[in-house]
Amino acid sequence: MSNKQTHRFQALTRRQLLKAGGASMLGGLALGAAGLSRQARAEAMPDKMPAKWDEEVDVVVVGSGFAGLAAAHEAAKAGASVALLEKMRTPGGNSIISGGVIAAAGSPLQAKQGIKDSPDSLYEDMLKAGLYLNQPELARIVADQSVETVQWTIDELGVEYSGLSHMGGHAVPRSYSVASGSGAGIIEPQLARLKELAVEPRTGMLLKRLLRDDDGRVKGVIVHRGFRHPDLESGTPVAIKARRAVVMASGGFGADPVFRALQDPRLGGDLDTTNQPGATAEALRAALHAGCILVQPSWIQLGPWTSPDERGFGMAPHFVQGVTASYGLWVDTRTGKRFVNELADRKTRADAILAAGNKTIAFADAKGYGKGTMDTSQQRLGRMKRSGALMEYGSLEEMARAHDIPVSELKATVKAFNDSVDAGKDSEFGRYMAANVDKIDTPPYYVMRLSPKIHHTMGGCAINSRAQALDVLSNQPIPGLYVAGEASGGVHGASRLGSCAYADCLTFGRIAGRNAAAQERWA
Amino acid sequence: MRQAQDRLGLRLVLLVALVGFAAGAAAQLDQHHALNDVPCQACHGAAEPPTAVATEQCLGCHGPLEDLGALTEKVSPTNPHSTPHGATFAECDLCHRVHGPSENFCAQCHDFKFTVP
Repeated sequence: MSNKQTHRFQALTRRQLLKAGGASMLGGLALGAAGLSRQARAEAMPDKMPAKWDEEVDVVVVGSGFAGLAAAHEAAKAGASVALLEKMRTPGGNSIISGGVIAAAGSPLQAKQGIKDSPDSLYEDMLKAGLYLNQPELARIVADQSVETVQWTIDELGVEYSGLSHMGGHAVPRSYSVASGSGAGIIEPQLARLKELAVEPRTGMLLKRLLRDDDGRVKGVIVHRGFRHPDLESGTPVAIKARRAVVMASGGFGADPVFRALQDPRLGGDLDTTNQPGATAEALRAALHAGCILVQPSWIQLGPWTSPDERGFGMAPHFVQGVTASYGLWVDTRTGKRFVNELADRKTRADAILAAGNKTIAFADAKGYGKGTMDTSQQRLGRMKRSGALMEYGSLEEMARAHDIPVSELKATVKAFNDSVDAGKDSEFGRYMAANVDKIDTPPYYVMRLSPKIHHTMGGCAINSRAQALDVLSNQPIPGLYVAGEASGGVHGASRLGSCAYADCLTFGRIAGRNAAAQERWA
Repeated sequence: MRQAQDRLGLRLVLLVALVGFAAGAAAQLDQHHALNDVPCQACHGAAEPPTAVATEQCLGCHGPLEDLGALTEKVSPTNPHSTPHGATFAECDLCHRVHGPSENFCAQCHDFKFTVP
């Protein structure tokens, strides 16, 4: 991201505000307002309501990823008119390019495979990975409703799944894999169902301001129509009245180096990210300006399964997580030894890779590749090789030479693991051993280098179990404002488990949409 | 039959355009349409002022998408007309501009060095 862009993340200019509201919206401090009340009032800075609204709807939804589409869906189903706003040129946010796995604890697929599981177990895993910083009430909702949420995607959206994956930090395989291999397999059916409900995402619509009246209620938004990322001054201001509520489903800030650096100075600059370029913080800034509470923003997750040999998310996670975490090994190239449980949670693994100065590889043999991937045509293998991310070697010796690994140590590591396979138990790291895990002994050997990339921002706006945003002064719900998905904070604590974002976004998106539609009209 | 021939012709024109642009020729697509006897109204209809053209309109002559995908099957490192991100990432005007310079939309996330006609 360019410096030019980062400078634009400064607060709105006065000129911009005048352009947007017709008059100054900077309203003075409402010193005369009543003290803290159960209904949070906008005490610090109420906005001046526009003299004229350009549009009116019941519910404004900001963002068109899983959470935004789920919110729009429930709101429209409840009979609300919906304005579904997306600032980028394509809908779907990070969701549409994501890896295609959703956690469901105690699911029909697990029952079929004889895997014992329960919402309690998922909840425990979420809290353990989250270093017990998760808001228990919120994590509980995601865990308890996980099966229902997946079932909803099947019954209501017609989403197709191809099986179960074992994501790091989960006690057992419990993540439904989207058949098409990515989040598009859910976003597309969501968009199709919304179209039937006469709701279509409006692209190029940038949220500039949440308009909060002096009675404390959020009553609408100022957006820029015709926004062209990343020029925050582009587009024309439009005032949209939200007669019932606004749902903020605007995502995280993984692609916003300035905001990242505010939260964790080590993570600014040019660090690569798996996120789409629109994952920036200006909507979050608007929410904070309206009186939301920013919680746990310093917990920025690095995905441990990415490669320095390609850009962004790339194809590496399919191999590193899908194949090597269960059927291969990760080794420190300086020692030839394993350095982490390859199925540990993301933070544990990313920290371990960073501690090894990124001098690490993930590898599997030909058998492991076959077991861990659904790439039966080997089409993906070819693409990964052509992109330069995946390397292939005819023997362990050749692999060791190419990556400067002490060969005898590497062989000892493989032998120790193969002994563990015989014993049915990983003696070194206690890694979960699926029944079909096999010895590593069949060339060719496939290798990727590891380099963690910014993946998920756990922090965001504080919400309650109804997805209502909490007010920074009163700690009470802000009337007319809901937050769901990555824009909210607290569900995942210090580190989100793989496949729990889908569950979080869809579950809380639906909650927010239902409650937004049920909110009493103010006009 | 006639229609099929027209379509074949169109694809050949497209193919020539692809090769031409890859070779560094620079002309806007409106010029290209005009030279092939496609007037403004063929895409924009009679509306004044003219409105944006939907992907379905483009595909009416150039499509379906699968056929375009077949044309660019060999493009390296991946087929620009076959996206795993769904139909919304296959809108023509994400890359192709008729009245201005086209852009490589994929490049915002990928290192695909496509030359977009």
